[in-house]
Amino acid sequence: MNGMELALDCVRFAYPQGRFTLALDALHVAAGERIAIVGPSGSGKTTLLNLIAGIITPEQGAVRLGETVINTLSDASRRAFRIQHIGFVFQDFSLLDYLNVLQNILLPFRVNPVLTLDANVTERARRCADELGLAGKLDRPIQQLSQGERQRVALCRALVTAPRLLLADEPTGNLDPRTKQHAMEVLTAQRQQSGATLLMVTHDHSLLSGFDRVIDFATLAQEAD
Amino acid sequence: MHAFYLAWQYIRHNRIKSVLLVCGVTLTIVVPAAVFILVRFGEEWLMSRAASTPMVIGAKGSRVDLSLHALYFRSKAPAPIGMAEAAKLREAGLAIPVPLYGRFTARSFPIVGATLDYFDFRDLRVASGHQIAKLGDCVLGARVAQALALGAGDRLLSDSENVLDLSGAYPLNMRVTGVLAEERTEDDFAVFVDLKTAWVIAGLGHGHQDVSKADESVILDRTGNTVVANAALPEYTEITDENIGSFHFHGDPAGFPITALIALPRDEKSAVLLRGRYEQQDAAAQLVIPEDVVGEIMEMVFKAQRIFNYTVVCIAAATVLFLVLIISLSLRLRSTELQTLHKLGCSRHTMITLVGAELILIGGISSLFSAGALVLVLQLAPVLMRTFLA
Repeated sequence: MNGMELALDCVRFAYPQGRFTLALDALHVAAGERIAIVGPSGSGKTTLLNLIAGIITPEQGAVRLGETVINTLSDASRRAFRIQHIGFVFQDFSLLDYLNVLQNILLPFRVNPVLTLDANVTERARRCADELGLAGKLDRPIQQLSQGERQRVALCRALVTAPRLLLADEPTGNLDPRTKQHAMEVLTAQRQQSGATLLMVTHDHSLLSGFDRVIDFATLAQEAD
Repeated sequence: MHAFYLAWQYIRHNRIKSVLLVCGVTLTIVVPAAVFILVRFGEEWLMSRAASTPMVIGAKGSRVDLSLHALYFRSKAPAPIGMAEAAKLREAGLAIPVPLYGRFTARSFPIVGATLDYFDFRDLRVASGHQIAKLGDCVLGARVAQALALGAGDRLLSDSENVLDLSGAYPLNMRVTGVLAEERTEDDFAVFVDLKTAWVIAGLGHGHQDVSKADESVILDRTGNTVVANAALPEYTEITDENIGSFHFHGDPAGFPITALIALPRDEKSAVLLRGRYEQQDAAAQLVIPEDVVGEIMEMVFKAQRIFNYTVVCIAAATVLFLVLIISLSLRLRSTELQTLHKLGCSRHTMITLVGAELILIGGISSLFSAGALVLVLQLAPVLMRTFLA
């Protein structure tokens, strides 16, 4: 599967109740490229990923994913586009504690009508979990997992929809060095298999060597009143 | 179906919260519904028996006590009237008299002394064994037989009225000859004996060792055919084929007591005439129309129920408000989870469906439990009514 090209042009976004405003003149990521985004806390890295994923929409500018300008789509279409083409590993993993590992991995298929949950998907989820070292833990409740295991569940959930664009928001932030290294290996291997474009926010400079390009967000974006 | 799957997982995970919710909703449904069912059942139960009993004659006093005693064998036995009242009724030819004597109990179930007319009147059939044939026999209501695990051929001892009363009657060890078919009426909870057996229990009749063969130490006086013995002369507490001949009654049978006399008028005119007789100032007894008396009782019950209904409406409204509050607080507590679902592409509509599915499941489970509880209430309604009337 090919990765997805990504381009942001003259994007401006402000949170309704806050003073924070993100302004980004241009960002272009080629299909299949691996990008690390670094920058100080509060500079808007997570906001950028949410804009790219279509979870939030800019006030001005365009977020283009492949041939689609995602911010011009309706809510429903944007949601459908996101779930079909984008995988997102959240900073806090965003796992539901009342579901077990496999149920969490398959959750996108249960809450989105555009995705169909069938035996093939379940098999793919099992295979993905197996590759991420979760094979024997599919029936475990989330609370019984370590941070590293939770991170892998979140990664598996992001990958099970076979995304063309993988967004990861500090996925190694809560991990110890050994687990962190392993997680990166897994992420890299999985991305290599799928060929997906990867954008990962990180504070950890030891991981940057594995990326094609590193963007310092402080120089890329502007913060304005 | 995914919504219900996820909702079920949530409910399973949050067991205590779910159980509390189910209990709350179930109680909100069951309590008013059970009261409604019991009142309706009670009305039907009380009224049908009252309507099928045209008239009851008894000692002057409380009409309610007399009616409840004659119909349901409840309340303290009213003051007795004499058997002469039944004879008088028969002689007048206005009604068929069905006398009852219900002062005693056997293992807490009322012993009802009656003639065979009572069984015909209530259309009571013997389901196993046979009908009362001899002095000392009894037939059991279906629930009594079930509760005491007794059947034809077993023995049942009447309860002692007062163990400290030396002059009181001895308990009688009765022979169970049969069990009546279940009628879902108060007859299921009674022990039926012949009137004479009831009088034996009352001490009006007794059997004892033949005084001509008795030990001289118990004989106080012999004059001609009259023999006077003291209290040491052994009295029988059980009527058998061997000693039944020794049983006899002292006193005038016309004065033997009955606690109620059901009167079955021959026709409407007879009924009017009969009422006229008992409305006279000098009448020794009173005549009551059970349907009127029970109707008055039910009128009071319905008044109380109307107040209860208003209360239920208020409580139901308060419960709905509490549920809305609980749900909104719960959604606030679950904002992180809802945020996750949103980030995973879940639409607002799907989220509402998910929460709706949880409510439907909670409501469904509560409804199932409520239905089960109400079926139980319906099954136990005769016992519950009996308990409430006790």
